[in-house]
Amino acid sequence: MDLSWRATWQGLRRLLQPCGRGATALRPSPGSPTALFEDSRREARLLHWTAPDAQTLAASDVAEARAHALLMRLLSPAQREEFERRNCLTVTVPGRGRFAILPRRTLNVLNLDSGECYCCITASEVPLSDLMLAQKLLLEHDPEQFFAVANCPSEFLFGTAMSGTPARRPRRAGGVLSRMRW
Amino acid sequence: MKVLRILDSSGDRVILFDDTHAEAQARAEAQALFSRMLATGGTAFKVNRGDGKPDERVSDFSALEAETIVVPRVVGG
Repeated sequence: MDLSWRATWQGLRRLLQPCGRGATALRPSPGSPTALFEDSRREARLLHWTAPDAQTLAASDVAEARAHALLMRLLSPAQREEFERRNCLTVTVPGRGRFAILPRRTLNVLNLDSGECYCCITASEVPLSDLMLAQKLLLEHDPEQFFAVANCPSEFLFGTAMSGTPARRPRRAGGVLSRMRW
Repeated sequence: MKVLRILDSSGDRVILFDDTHAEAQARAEAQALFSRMLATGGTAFKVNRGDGKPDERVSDFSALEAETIVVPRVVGG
């Protein structure tokens, strides 16, 4: 089994490359073939859905728009510029390095030094932008709580990373793999 | 006027209140909600503090400033 951390890290770095689209590019421009396809697909979905389903979809769109506006307002200028360029944001955690918050719900907090992913979500359902805002606030101002609850699959498997270069970082023997007899 | 924003499925629930006598009911509602959220594991942060002051975690209702975000309890995903 290949457990090369360099390969994993290089794969994760590709996620952070500039993708040439802003937050508004998530929706295709009106009138474009993609937009028409999306509209027809959405319409077909709605035809098969009940009225409460359609109301739920509309409400979630409104909630996401509201959460996105709040997130944009609370980002620092540098984070806002980065979010518009890459659709993600970077926060600096004192003593722990830089972390990228990616726009998805699971394993979306990435340590830019070690390449490790963390998963920490709100117990109650919130829009994606609210989740990213919660993660940003926790990482910047209450990182102990974040890391106390966040799951990190690589730490679970291989143990906590110790200091050293990211490519050859030794780990404490605490992961489940270190306790297995092969 | 102070703003308390509770993150929820609708985006955020907003409660406006201040320290005047006229807003006593709104303040009591805000305080009750704030206490309940923190008691259930939520975390509150003072944001948009002005004068270049950084955001800050807050757990005391009397220390709230112009705008506060309350994050629901977080769990490992």
